[in-house]
Amino acid sequence: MIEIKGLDFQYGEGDFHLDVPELSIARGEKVAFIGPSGSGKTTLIYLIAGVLQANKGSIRVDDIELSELPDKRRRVFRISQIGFVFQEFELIEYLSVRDNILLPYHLNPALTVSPDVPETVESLAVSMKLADKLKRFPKTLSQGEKQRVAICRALVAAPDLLIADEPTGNLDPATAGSILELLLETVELRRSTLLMVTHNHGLLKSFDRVIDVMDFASGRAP
Amino acid sequence: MRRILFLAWRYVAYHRGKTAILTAALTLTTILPLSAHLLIDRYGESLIARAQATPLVLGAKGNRFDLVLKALYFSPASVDPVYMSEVDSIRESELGEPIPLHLRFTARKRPLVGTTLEYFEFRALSLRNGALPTVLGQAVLGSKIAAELEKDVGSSLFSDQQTLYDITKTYPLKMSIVGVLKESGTPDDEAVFVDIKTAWIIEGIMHGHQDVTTVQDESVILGRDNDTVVANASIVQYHEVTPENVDSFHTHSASDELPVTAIIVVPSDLKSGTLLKARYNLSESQRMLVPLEVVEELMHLVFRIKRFFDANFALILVSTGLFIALVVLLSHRLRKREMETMHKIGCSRLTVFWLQAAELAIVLTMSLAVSVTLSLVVVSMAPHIMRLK
Repeated sequence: MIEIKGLDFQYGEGDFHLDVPELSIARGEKVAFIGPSGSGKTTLIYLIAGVLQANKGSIRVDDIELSELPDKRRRVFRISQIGFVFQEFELIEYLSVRDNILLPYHLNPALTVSPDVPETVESLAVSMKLADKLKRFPKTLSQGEKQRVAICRALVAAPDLLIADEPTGNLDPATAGSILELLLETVELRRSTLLMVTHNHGLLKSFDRVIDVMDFASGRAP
Repeated sequence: MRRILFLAWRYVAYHRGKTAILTAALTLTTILPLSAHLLIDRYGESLIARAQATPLVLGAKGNRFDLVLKALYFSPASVDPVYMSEVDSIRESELGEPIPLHLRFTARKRPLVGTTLEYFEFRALSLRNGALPTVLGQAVLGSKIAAELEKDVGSSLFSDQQTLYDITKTYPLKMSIVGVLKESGTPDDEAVFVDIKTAWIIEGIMHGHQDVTTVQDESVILGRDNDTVVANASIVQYHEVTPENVDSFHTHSASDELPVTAIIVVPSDLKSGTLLKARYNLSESQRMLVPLEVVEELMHLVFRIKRFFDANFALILVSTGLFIALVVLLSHRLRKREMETMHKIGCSRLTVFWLQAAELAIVLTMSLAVSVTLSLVVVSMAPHIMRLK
């Protein structure tokens, strides 16, 4: 699924340096990235997603060489192949829950709204216990509900790869546990690959593999 | 584009307060110049059209704008009179057809126009119902005034009292309405028309009273000789012309003492027009004007003033533009994370730019729509507002 070789990345003139000689992640694998703040966890997953571009090396996702793709195609690849879940949920305050879930379809014409998309939204909402909240706006939701909406948004285009950047970082332990459980169940069911950045070592037992990013980094990421 | 418009619309709809403030700011900036532009356009056109249709106007020397505005648009300006003898003189010269206008009075605050039947033919005014005023004391109403006063053929109308406290002035005249004109879209729609002699009755130059030769009460007679009977003020003066008293109305003035405010002159040909202008423009007390020239001069003045306001408007527009730019910039800063999220998910930076541009375009469109609507309301209400003043 993901093949990284000789990856080298640096932010401008800063002292942070990420060097990944080789890393393979198989389809359906659940991988946790750990490391202290500024170690480059988020940088690494953004490189894998094509949000950032490496200075050197190769990143192949499903046999597609990201470093060779122009920006437009990288965005199309990202929106159709990758689902993002962020620590701060990053929901759009002026869109209803339904439209937040549909955001990838609103943003990029590469995703066309086929007749089964509304059905997908409904079934995702049911599975995430949001069925009665589709018309509501984010500010009326609890933290846990917001993160469940964010997970629905990440899954709506049925991506093969789900990237979660500390998705439980802003949640209380009980909610964090249930959200993680939901995420893992969904990934399992869809046979997607999950890359998750976390500080919570208590969650690590649920993952197939744990990677300490400190093994690849020197300096401090912004 | 539909996706971007959808997101932009959701944004402005969600932030109703902010949208309303921006829309109001832009509307307030644009409504005054837009209304002024529409008003000048609309009234300029109608002013020019009426001036074009009026070849010459004769009146007393004085402010030429006042004379033309009075003769063509029945403005309330005060103009010195010329006399009926000029009407006779022009007619006798056969250089043109004179149409006298006496415009000193009002009825229910609307201009009362004393003229002759030729005026209706000249302005191509036709009757919606009734007849033209051929007898003393009869009046014809313009379409708008008839609707506003809810008067029709068979009802009556008083001329306005000139002054409440001067007993030497004549009393209001009760006029019978004999006709209502069709709408013409000109100032004629808002005027009351009477025969010029009726206007002189209102002025007190013509009058009707009891026949002093047959009066029974000798106490009203001050003196009598072979030719003249002198009566005192207790003789009954008529304030309404009726079939019974119409023959008693008369004037003691000669035609060179009968005032008219202005005389519209339709010259027989170009040469006659030139001769008439030359004749009167040598006069010390009268002048012959070409209304089109005067109105164009007036419009030129208006446009010069408008240019000043346009420059002022441009500056206000620039400052509003800078204010909007500041709002957009601050909004962009506040929404940086939202934009970053969209980019991370897979949206191009250009789409993010278009999204903000679409939001601004929606606000601009709404304020323009409100501005245009309010300006049209102002323009449609302008005659009413001006009359109230």
